[in-house]
Amino acid sequence: MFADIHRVEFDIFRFDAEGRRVEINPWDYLPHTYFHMSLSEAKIFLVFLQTHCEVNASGKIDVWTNSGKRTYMVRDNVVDLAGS
Amino acid sequence: MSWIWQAVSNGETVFHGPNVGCFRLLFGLSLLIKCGVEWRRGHHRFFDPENYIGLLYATRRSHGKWLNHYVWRSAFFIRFLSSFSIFLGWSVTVAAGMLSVALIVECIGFSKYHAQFMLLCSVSLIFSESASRAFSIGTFYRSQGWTDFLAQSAGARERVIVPLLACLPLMAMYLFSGLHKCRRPFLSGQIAALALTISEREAANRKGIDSTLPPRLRGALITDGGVPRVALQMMMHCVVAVELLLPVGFLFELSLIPAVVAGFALHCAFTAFLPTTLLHFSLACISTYVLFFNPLVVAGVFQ
Repeated sequence: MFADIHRVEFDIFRFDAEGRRVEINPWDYLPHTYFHMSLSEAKIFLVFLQTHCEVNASGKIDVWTNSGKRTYMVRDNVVDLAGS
Repeated sequence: MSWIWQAVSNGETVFHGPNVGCFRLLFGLSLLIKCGVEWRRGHHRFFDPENYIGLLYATRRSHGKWLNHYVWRSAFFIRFLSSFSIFLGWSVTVAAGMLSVALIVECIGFSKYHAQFMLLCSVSLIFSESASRAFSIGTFYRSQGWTDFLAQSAGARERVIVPLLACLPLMAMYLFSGLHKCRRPFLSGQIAALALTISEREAANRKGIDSTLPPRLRGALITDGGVPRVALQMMMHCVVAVELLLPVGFLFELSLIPAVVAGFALHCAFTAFLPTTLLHFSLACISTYVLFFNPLVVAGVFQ
């Protein structure tokens, strides 16, 4: 399990009823052993937040693989695939 | 050669010893720890309608909708009951069969390496003769005092196929894990350093579960900027060397003790990195080590 790195760091937030920015903690929804996550799984997770938790997430995600990091912007639970 | 390979090459099918009983006891303990940790972390709710894992499973598999929250929760409950039964040594054949089915369900729904390994170990226990006798609750009640209990457990009859079925997956796991890690990103310590750094950043969000190392240990392994130090690189080389050498070490009587010590140290190091996640897996692996020892030697310890 230590041989590869496939991790996603979420830096996402939502706006509450008063329009205040509220950080979203992904580990409130993920299993504690869910270390390995790919970009496609992250996309499904964002869809899950919208459809099952009624959380409208925006922000950015960092996708780490053995070859490095790519950052993607997230807007209304959709990942902008033009990552940096 | 160690006894198990000699027995196979000599065509022996049975032996007398408490090895499988000791293995069953430790393996049962690791199963109970797994159930306890996963219950506390809400694994039994993974396939409830509002859960991410159930959605992930549904998007990946267009067929096979049979795995719903009823099946998942039932499998979890069966896993707990059979783990308890295996630990006590009560109806081990039936319990191991039920556990195997429950672990197959787990591997289909939310596969983890430790679940796959535990599945193979539980399959080996299905064929066991001595698992319900050596160090079991039944033998304890039937025996006349501790001496009789230990003597009965130490002399239990067992099939050679049982330790063989548990030992071969362990050796294959070490070998292929070692081969997979023989790559620059792992050996340079980059992967471990990155995993540590990300875990630290997520520590608050993860509510401290498997997130941080003691500061002095962390400082010895990686710099403040997350760059691996020489100690971490050496550790990664040692991990690969140990994983590749362990299967060879388990083959010979002479190298058995050093292999067991090295394997124990390896699992202690793994568990230090991710204690909650890896404690039961490490214990399950270490429980298998007892099968490599000569049954006469193990029996001598209890007589």
